[in-house]
Amino acid sequence: MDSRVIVITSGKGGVGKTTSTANLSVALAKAGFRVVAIDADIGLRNLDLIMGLENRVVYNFIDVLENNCRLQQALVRDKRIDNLFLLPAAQTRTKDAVSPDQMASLCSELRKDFDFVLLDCPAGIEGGFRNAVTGADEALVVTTPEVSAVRDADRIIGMLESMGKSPIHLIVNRVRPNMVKEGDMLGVDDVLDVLAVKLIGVVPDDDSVIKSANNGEPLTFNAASPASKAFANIANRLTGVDVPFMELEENKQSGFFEGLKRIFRI
Amino acid sequence: MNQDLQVGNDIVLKGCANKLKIIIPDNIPEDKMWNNLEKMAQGTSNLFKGVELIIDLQGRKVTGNFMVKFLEKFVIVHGVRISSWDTLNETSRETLISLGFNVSYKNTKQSSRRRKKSETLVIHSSIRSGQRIEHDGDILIIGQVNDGAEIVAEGNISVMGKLKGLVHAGYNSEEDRAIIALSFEAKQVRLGTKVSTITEDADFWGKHVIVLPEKDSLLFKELKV
Repeated sequence: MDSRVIVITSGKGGVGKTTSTANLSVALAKAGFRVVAIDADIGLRNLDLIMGLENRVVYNFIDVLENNCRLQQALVRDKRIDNLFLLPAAQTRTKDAVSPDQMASLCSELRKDFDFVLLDCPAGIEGGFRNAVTGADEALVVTTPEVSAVRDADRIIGMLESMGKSPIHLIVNRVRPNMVKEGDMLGVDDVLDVLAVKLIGVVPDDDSVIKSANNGEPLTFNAASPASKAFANIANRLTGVDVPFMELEENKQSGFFEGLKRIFRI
Repeated sequence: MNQDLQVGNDIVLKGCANKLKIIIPDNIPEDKMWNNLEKMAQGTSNLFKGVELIIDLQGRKVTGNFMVKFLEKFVIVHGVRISSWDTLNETSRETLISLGFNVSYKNTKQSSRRRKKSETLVIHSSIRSGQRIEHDGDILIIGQVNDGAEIVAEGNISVMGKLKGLVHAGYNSEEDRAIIALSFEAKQVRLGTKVSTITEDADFWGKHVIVLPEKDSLLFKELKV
């Protein structure tokens, strides 16, 4: 297959770009694809932590661009899956250390060896965003069902469209069905109504995401949580598999009477 | 005074508000222009008394010497009072300003606006957050105007979809304009020099709405077609 370079972006910070990048990278690698995840958030690198590879980082991609090492030396292989790699960001540099052209040539180089190149984009719309986006063909826009995140996603989609990135897919992250039902949270349809791009996945709010991030083990390695299934489904849809969207279940009440109901199967 | 008066077949004398405007076409050779100005001053001397004049030099390129001559041959000799000077020529404008003459900008702006007013900008897509559309005529959006988008028009604005962003119709215009939206969900609109804020509990929220100027405020009417 032709190599695909996909940027995972959002505009707003803290909506789940890095978590999505890590989980999708693992899910795609588990499906047998050669995958490299690039942390394009120079100066604020996190992807190595979320993927549990921080202690194996020696070089970063700024070292590659400055000819301090070869590309192969900077790539960190994941011991758990042979065909998964991380290209870390420099923590001691700033976004100005790299130009869009350099990022584009780096992505071109990686295309030769990988089926999927996933770029974890920094928040914002300035230089860091442009660097990350320049080398990508397509985009995954991550948002949460909050008006501020949706407005920023809208801004980002407008910029991606003007830069000719296609297709642009949407991930709605941290959906809480209970709150949507009560009218306290935007529903996925509300978000789609504004953003008008193709939905590729809905990820429910799930405590296991925080645990997995702290443990450095992306959920898609083996967990069977709802968020894990959602990310695995997104990875499948990315590869062209037609996976139906799963029904998000409301959180069950855990009170005394709810317990009795469960015992007596009322 | 509404009637235009042709003087010497070339120069036009025009009444505007409490002032008189002398329009001097730029295709008249300078010698002929002085003659015609002289004829006009002699023939209409009573007309100038107590009236402020605006001299419209059209696209004529003027120099310091030209202005000195103008003062000597017309202004001082006939004792006329000039309130301002109009020109379509940028170099002339700069020359006039540098010599300390009062230059009106209205002429060129109005004429350019007049040229483009009839044009309507039609956009067949939604306007996203951070995008800004400006136009000196009317704007028709066939799509949504999302929260964070901005539309600014000298004319009217029609949104054939949800209006959530900021629209400003009648920008820099003295004429009455209107804003129309098929689903009005904007928290602020601007019409001319007026600004109005709207809350989600408004009766017309989410409905077809037309916004019109009304005295010192804005009138929001549900649009029933």
